[in-house]
Amino acid sequence: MLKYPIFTFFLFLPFLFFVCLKPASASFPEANALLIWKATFKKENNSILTSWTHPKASGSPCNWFGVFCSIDGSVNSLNLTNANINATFYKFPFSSLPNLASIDFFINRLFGTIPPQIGKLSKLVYLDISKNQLTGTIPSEIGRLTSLRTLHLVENQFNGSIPSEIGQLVSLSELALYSNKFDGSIPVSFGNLRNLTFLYLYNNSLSGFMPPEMGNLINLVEVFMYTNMLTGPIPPTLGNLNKLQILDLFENQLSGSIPPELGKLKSLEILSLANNNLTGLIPASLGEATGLITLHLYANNLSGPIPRELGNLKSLSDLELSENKLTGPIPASLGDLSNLEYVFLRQNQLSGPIPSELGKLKKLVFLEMDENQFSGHLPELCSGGLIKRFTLSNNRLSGPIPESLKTCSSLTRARFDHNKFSGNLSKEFGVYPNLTFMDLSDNKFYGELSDNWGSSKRLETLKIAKNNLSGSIPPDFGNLNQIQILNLSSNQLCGGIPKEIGKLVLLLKIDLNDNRLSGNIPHELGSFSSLNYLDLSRNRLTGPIPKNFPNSEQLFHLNLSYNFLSQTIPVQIGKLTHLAALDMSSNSLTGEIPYEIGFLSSLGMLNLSHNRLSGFIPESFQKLPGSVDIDISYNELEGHIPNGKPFQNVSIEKLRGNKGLCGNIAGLQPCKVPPIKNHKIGKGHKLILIVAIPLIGGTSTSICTRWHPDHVRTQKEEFKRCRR
Amino acid sequence: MAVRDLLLFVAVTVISSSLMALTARGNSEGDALYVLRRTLSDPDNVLQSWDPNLVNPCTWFHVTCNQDSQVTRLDLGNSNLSGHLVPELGKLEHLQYLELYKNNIQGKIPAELGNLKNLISLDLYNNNISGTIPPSLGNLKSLVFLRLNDNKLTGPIPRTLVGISSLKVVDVSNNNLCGPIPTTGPFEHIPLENFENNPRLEGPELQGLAGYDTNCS
Repeated sequence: MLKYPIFTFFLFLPFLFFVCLKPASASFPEANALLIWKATFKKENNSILTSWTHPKASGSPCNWFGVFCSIDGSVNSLNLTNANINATFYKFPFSSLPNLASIDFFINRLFGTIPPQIGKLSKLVYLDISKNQLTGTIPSEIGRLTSLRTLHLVENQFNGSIPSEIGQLVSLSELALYSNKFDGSIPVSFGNLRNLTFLYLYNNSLSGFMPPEMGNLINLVEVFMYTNMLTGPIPPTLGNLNKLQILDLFENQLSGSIPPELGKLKSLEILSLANNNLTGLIPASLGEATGLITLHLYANNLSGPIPRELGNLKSLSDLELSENKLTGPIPASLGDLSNLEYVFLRQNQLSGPIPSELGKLKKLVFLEMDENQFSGHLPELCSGGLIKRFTLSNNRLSGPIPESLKTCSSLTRARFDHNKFSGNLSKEFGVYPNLTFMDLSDNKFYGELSDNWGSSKRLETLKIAKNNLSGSIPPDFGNLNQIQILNLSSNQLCGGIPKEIGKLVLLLKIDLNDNRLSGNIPHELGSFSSLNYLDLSRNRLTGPIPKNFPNSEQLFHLNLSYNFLSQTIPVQIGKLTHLAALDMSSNSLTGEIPYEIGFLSSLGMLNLSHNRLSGFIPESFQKLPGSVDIDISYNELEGHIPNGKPFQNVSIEKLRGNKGLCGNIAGLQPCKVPPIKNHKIGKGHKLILIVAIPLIGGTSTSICTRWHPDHVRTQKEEFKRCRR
Repeated sequence: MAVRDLLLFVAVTVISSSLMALTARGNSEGDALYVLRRTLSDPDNVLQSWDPNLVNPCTWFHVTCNQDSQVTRLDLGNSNLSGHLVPELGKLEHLQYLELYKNNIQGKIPAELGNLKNLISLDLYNNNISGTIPPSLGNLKSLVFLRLNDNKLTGPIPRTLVGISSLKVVDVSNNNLCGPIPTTGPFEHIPLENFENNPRLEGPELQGLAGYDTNCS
């Protein structure tokens, strides 16, 4: 208390004048300090900061780009977002900007560490240095910024533990540390941050347990802690967070059960606990968190049933419980969730029928329930006409396909494979203008392939293998101009391969094996230039292998075995430099083995057995990769086995049943005359042939009849059934 | 302004978080291949079917899996691809055939390819690949076919390749390799023409007389 207050007042008056008359000079040292910092910036194409020069008149930096002052002329805010600043904080004027309340340096090239001097900015309310290249740890001095409400350090390279001093920032409302390399535990002191609303710690290496003290943070609205290495249980105290809207703990190593207390979270909209090590039951009380829109519990070790109480989550639109050990049925109450768009229950041990109540879900877009033990018949499901992805593969479902699926024109990807679905295929499915993938393999569909398939023009993959289909392949399949994979194997399809298939230039994989296809291989099939895989084996194809066939350098697998193909092996075959497996066994191929086969430089398996190939084994076989597995048994070949690696360790089984092969292999007669290079049969051998051919012919015929006992009879029957 | 940006971040996060969710656990082989997809330039859209939201990559085109849904073949020859290879390819433990020939791929051969213990065929020929042949390829103990011809490879042919007894076909012609041509082990039977057009590659090493002072590394 001053004795002479009036006197004191007059003493101070000049100072007041000083302050009022020259407001700018208070900011002169601030300008200076900022320029000292600017001098450390690396030169960049930076026209933005040209305003940062020493002001002659006022000495005030308040008109500089990104600099804002309060009424008294003191710098209170720096906003240099996206200003291409390449500098450190080491010369930043922490001590010279006493009124600085806001720093926003989002998106720059700041590097180095945060100096402990940061603690001097006692008035700082807002600090955002996100998306820079800063490193090092957060200094503990940060705990002095008790006015700080927003702290954003995202997308830098910060490391080390989050200092417990952060718990002293009692004004803190937003804390974003995501996409750094923070490790260690979440400090227990976080429980003191009563004003915290948004907590983003995701994409770091945080470990240890979530502190139960987090249950004190009753103002929390959003918690994103996904993609870390957190362990231990989810604290039940989180159930106290009445305002919580988002809790995302995806991709950690959390264990224990899902706390039933989470059901108290009435404001919760998004809950993701997916990709952790959670065990135990899905608590029925989750059905009380009636604000839930998204519920992701997939990829854990959860067991027990899906609680029927989940049927109370009327706002639920995204339900994902896949990849757990859930058992029991789908509760019918899920049919009440009229907002459901995405339902993923795949890869569990769920059983029972699919409830007809699911047919009430008009907004369904994705329904994936494959790899369970569902049984019974499908109910009507596509009532809203919106389902795009529909997978039920690998279950025990049976019966016909319901009408609503037949007309579900929104389908893009459908899998029914590996079930016991039955019914007449031509009546079960319609036209799907957006369908790209359809797999019906391994079911009990019968009937014929309808022309409809050709109208689903976006089809890229069509698999209907292992069913009881009959009739022929419609020429309309030639309209599937987007198709890349076609698998109709293991059915009873008959008739010819339509030449229209040759138009499907995008085909990568054709699998028609194990049917009753007849007629010739259309030469149009030679036009595929991208084909990787062709299997026509185990059919009744006749006639020659087309001359230009196949024409794709990328072909790695060609199987024409177990047919009635005749005439010679085309020499074009030598162009297939990437062929790993070539099987033409069990046909009636004649003529010599083309020497071009020796050019198949990637060959791993060659099977020409059980044919009528004659002449010599080409010397070019020496060029084949040494590890190739060759079988040329049961032909009419003669002459010596070529030298070289391919035949070094070949066993007699792969050579027997020929006319006169000889060589230094156990079981083979040694060659009597000096080895003759591959050439046409000389005069002296003609006599041997005249005797040998009928003998061998007789043997081959008997072998053929042993393998195709119904050869003649079945072909006649087939012509009857396949005539259209 | 930064608050607005943060809200944008949040929005993107929520959306991407949900999208990640549709991936289920995230098959590691599919993830590795998806990294490749993002790194390659694909004007013909041959990788369009490579959807990371599917359970595994086995229904992706140009990918072949075995019965256990593990990737065994990658067939992307002649597909107009450019860009470069990624180390993640080394995670495909069951890969047998890596067919990337006749494209426009640049950059180096990742050393991580040496982790592919089941690899039978490595076909990178006719690309724009530079850098050296990683010695780690000597760990490919199942390798039969090694075709790296028609690229811009430099450095020596690693000695480690001599230890791959299964190796049957080697072609490194039309590159810029240097140092000696190995002649032992599997290289005994590789024809000289598979080394041609490497101006700095020296003749077959003479046993015991091979010079190492060749300024080649």
